[in-house]
Amino acid sequence: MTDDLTQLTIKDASRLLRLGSISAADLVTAHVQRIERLDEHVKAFLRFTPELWERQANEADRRIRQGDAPPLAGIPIAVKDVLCVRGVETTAGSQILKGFKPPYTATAVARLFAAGAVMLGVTNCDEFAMGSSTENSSYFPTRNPWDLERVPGGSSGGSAAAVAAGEAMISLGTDTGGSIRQPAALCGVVGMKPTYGRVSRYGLIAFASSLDQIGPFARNVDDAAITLSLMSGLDPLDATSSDRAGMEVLNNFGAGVKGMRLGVPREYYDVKGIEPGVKAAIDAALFILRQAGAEIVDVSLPHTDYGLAAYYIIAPAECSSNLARFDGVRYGMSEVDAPNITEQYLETRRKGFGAEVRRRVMLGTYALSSGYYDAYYLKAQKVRTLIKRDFDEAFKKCDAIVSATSPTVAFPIGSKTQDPLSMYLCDVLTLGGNLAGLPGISVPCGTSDGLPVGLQVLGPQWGENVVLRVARAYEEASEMKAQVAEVV
Amino acid sequence: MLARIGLEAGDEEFYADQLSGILEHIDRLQQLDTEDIPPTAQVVEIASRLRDDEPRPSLTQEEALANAPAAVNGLFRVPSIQEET
Amino acid sequence: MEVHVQPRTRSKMFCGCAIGELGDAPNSHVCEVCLGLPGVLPVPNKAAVEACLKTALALGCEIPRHTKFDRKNYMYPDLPKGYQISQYDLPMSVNGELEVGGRKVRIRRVHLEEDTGKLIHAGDKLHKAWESYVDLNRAGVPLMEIVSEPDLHSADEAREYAVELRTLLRTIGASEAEMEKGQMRAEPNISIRREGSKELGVKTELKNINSFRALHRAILFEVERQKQLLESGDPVVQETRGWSEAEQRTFSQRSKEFAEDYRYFPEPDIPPLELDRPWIEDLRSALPELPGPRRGRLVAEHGLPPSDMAVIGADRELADLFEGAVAAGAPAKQVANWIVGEVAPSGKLPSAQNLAELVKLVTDRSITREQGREVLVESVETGRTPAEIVAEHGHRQVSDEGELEVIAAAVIDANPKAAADYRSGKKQAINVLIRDMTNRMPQANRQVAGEVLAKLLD
Repeated sequence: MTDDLTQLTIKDASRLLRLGSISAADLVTAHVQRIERLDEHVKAFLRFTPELWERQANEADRRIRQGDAPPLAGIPIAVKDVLCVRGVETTAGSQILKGFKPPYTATAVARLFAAGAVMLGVTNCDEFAMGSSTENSSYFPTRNPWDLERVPGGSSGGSAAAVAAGEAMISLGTDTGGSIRQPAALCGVVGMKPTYGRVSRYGLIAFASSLDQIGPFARNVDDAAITLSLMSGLDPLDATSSDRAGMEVLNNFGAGVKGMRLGVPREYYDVKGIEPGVKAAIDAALFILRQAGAEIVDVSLPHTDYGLAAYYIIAPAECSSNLARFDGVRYGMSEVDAPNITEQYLETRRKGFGAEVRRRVMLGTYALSSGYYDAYYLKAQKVRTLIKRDFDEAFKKCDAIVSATSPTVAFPIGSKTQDPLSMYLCDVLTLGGNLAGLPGISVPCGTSDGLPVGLQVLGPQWGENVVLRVARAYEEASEMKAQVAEVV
Repeated sequence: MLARIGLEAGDEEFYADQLSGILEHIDRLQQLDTEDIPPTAQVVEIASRLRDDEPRPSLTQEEALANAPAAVNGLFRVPSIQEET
Repeated sequence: MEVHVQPRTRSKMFCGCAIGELGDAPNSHVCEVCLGLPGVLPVPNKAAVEACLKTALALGCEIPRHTKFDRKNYMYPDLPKGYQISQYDLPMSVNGELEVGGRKVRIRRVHLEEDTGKLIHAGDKLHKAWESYVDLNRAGVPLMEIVSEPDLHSADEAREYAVELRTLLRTIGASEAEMEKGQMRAEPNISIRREGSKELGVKTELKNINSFRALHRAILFEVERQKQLLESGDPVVQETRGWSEAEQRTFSQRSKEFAEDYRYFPEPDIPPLELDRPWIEDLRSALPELPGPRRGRLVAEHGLPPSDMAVIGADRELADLFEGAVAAGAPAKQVANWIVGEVAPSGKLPSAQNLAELVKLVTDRSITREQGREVLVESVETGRTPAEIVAEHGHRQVSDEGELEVIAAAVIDANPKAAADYRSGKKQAINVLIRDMTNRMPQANRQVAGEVLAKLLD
């Protein structure tokens, strides 16, 4: 019985809660038990929040009994370690923030709490969200629930795995270059990145300020959509957040793809390194979409080849600045016995930051330094404009863009860690969406060699409803429901 | 400057190797002519938003120092700042 | 010269913390944003932006259509985020000027940024401290930076410029600009060169100047120091130097300035600001009359001498008082005298009505000047009108010549010797007669009495 409770959708769970067939406490307990059974294998979680879940579950039960339950009352969620939650240790997957307890909660998370969600715990991620496999976590790597010797993707690997393993119904991740969509694809779940500015970044430990966005993981498109709509909307604490109404992401949600034009960019379709099995799954998905009434059109994103380079200048540049605050003075790890401040900075950051973080900080510092700024950062921002224009042109010919999310399925742990560039290439199909600020989703579209493949749908800016509509239509037509992995 | 992110002696070669790979890749941007292209100032059109000059409650001193590695009399403590000569 | 001014705001530049006072408990006006905690974001303060725009407009600057913030990256314990949000290549305004003592000083730019926290060093001397302490109450306080071109050629000019800037800022209400409260900081960049040479010499930047007097002295000292260096064949090193009020000299501070690369890039957390023309025009039309033009007008309309103008024109409230009192019918020159001689030094302001009334009472000799001073003080303290006070104290003097003539005649009769002395040339003898008059009528205005006596005696 309890395992069944970890396979529900929000709609089903809410119905059972409203009817009184189960309580929020039951729902939480079922998930906690599943976590106890599975997480020593999956290692999706870094730490748990029993005080929070008890209080929140009780509150949810109270309101359900009163009859004024908010939309996510009792729904168990997991939160990526880069999202601040008041009083909960939040470390961005890093040693440098060990023990740090924020005095405030990220706006997006607070909104879900206000909607009744119940927090199970904090999920693992690549350190400071830098990575595509969660192997850069300074704690331990998370494992793919479909094959424990393989990565779940990253940087939001813990969140993706938690949902894939039925340990949480919904989880939150962040996406800077693909860090929601790619792990969603590798773990066989739904993962969505909104338009830049749709969801407030207040409380998100910043990696790359002009690229970061928060988004949901779920096992079906409906759940992702509801969660996203509840997180969205103007936040006076984030000057880059839009005042567009969150509910608009659900417009025409169920309208189907009949008559829609779906663009397939040839540069994505034929991207270097795409596995034949992935390509085959995408072809099958395109077939189903055609059957459902969509027109598949050829589009081109000519500057695709330069996206990685632009991304790997802009993101490190911004992160090198964002990470300067970790100096051991006001919080976090600190070499308090250092003889002088320079030594304190040096030692704190050397010990506190992992190799990938230090690599990117160095790269970013270099890209911004005097004499190199024009050739690197400025140039990358110009190329970014070109990439955005590519998408603008493409969206004149189609309503949404479809492609594989990741060129490969989940790869073995340790297989790409020696070659950073090979790891960076995991994001080659997703980072364009970040550079252009577009909404994008990954939905499961089959397997290759038994491992999940994800279909990516990208929409124009503020076009979440288009993205969700296509994703939902595909989900329905393909009958491809995200499965909960058995793990052991 | 590089010291502030703590390069260990010996690490330099390792990083130089790894970084040179990505740097080579990044250099391909030079192939593009971007003479007349404006840099992206803000990828999404969001009107600048200003905040009304209304004070909000601050943290208490205790809350402000709650995560401090070293605090003395309500102040954050740091080791010697003097420059070496 | 770079002048940093704290605009009048209730909250900080990028967060809602209230601005504290000197003497507040440390770290008691901070929040997660100005503490630079992970995950926080800056949102600019509208009042600070408007104060900066008003200042720029008052300085005749050009305001671009868009402006943006940039990050200035460096690590230091008083800088919580490891970068300062400032403005680099698209500041809020450029190319203005300020007229100072008949010369025009060009303003290169006025921009907005955030202040850092404060460091306290164990042992009080940075170069001996084994540890330091950080108070972030001031971190994030807004600052306007006003940068002039090198158009100032002496310590005098520099001080005049600073004073004039302060008057301007106070007049438009952009800032209180009290140097002693740390609301205004002047950082002169000083270089010297041979007469006739066109190239500027190597400059040093001075910090830690907390008053106009210190500004003057620091510049004088530094010019002399550089002169001596160059004369003995040594070069001037480009560096930052601190002014020591205690030792009355400048000393070298960290020359990190040019070792540091600030790696400026546009602040991604704050979209560029659109400075639309209707907004700018609204701000411009709401500006009060500026000190320079006002001074000019007052001189033209009332013929005030420069010494009066220096006082009245330096302070908007004094200028308002002057104009108000004159509008209420008091004679301009006398009003000016009273303001310069009595009001300004006391630091307390009467209302324009009351001042006008007072001045008139003195000029038409209803009371003496001496009495007038007392009445002024009492009026300011109690708020009562001079007329009321005079009536209460019975100060009112008799100045009517007709009335006084009667008594004068009687006095002359009663004092034949004094009268004879006066007529024979001993003019001081009149004092005896005046004394007698005031004995008989204490309210007799001495001056008028004297005049009446003289008339009768002649």
